[in-house]
Amino acid sequence: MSDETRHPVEPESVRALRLGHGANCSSIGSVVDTLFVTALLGGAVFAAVMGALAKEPVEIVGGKEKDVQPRAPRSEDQVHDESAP
Amino acid sequence: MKLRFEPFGAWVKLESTAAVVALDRAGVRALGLDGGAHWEEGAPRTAPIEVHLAVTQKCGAGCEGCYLDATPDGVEPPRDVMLARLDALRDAGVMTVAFGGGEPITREDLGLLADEARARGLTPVLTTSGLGLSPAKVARLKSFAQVNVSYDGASEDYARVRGFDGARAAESAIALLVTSGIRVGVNVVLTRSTLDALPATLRRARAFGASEAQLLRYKPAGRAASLDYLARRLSPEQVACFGSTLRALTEEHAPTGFSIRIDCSMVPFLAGDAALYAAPEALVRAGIFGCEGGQALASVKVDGRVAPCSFVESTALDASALVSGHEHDPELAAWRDFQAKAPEPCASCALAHVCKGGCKAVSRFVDGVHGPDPECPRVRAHRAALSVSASAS
Repeated sequence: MSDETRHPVEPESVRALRLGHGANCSSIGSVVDTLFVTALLGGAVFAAVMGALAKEPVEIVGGKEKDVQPRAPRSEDQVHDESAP
Repeated sequence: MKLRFEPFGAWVKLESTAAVVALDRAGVRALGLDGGAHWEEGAPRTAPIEVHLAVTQKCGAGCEGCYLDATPDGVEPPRDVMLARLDALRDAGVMTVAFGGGEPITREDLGLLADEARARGLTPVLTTSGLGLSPAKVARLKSFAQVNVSYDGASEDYARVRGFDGARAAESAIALLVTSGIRVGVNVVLTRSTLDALPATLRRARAFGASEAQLLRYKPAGRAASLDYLARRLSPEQVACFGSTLRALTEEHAPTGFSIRIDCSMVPFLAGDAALYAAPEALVRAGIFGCEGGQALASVKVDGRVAPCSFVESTALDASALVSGHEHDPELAAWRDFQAKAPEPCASCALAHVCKGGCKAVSRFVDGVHGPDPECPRVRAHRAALSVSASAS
């Protein structure tokens, strides 16, 4: 992947945002802060995440990179998947 | 960032911010990537993003409600076995590995295992009682992204949950870890007799330097799988108010940077809150996970077998085969299928796609079936209505 093929991620593309590290070893946890806190606090968190998405280098895990081809962005319909968040 | 392709797009684990993001395909393409074979019809299902890895069965704490029935002479797998399991998690694309036990800090090589997890691209985190945690041991825990200390409140409340007063040891451990620059959370088990003290417990944990509280439902597994569970679990009234409880805790603590986290088994309790029940998409956007057994979560027990979660029996699948076996194991598949075949009242529940039926460890113990969570407010109401209807007829 090159910088030329990378563009800003639109906020609408974020289907779910799980905050924190979740250090419990017996059950999976979810931070609930953003369900209740003010839009100002939630907005700051979201802005930090969007900033990270724009800047951090990408490392693909859990799959073979040869299966993956860099390409320019294009629009596509949402995909239904029962395991999706 | 680490990115793992999924049929919907990809899971992305950020490095500069502690967050995991579900991106749709357009978002992935914006990063200059295409899922290729991962996005084709019939592509293999991917493995969990979070795995709970039991590194020992040893523990001398003797908690009354230990879900593993851990003992001082429990099994401790050799290091090379643990490294092979970490290899398997890496190959499967797992993002977070939560070290547990038993008591993980009884392992002399715990810090080395955390280093090895990092070397494999995994984010290691840890749960400990804090008992026996010395400065020398803490110095070896720097690779953990976060350490959670079991902390159920000040002395009397701690003892009510675990049968002994380990509060001071836990508080010392929190302070010691924080002083060493390690991010600390607390695991707080909620029972009928300790819920009222929760606000005070969280303030106390924050005062010792904790950054997060993970609220845990008391579960009928291990030594807690007894009739005593019925007296210790939250009352229906406490469950009905759980949304309000969370709202108040979050409003108090979130502005200070102290986060509130709930475990998967508590998501059905949110159905009792009218505002949350009316906004299921808000729960999705907030990344709330209900029962993820067979999907985003797996547990690897000390014998290397994979389980849907830490509270239920293992499957026949060995961790070494996680990357290929997660999709085909019949038990894991049955857990995934629950949502599609869920009976009422889950079938008509607005939160069903988030909650996924609630805690199966509870339904299996209380009802004897892999079914809807019997302590969910909607399930209680549904069963009460059926009972009234049956009486009338």
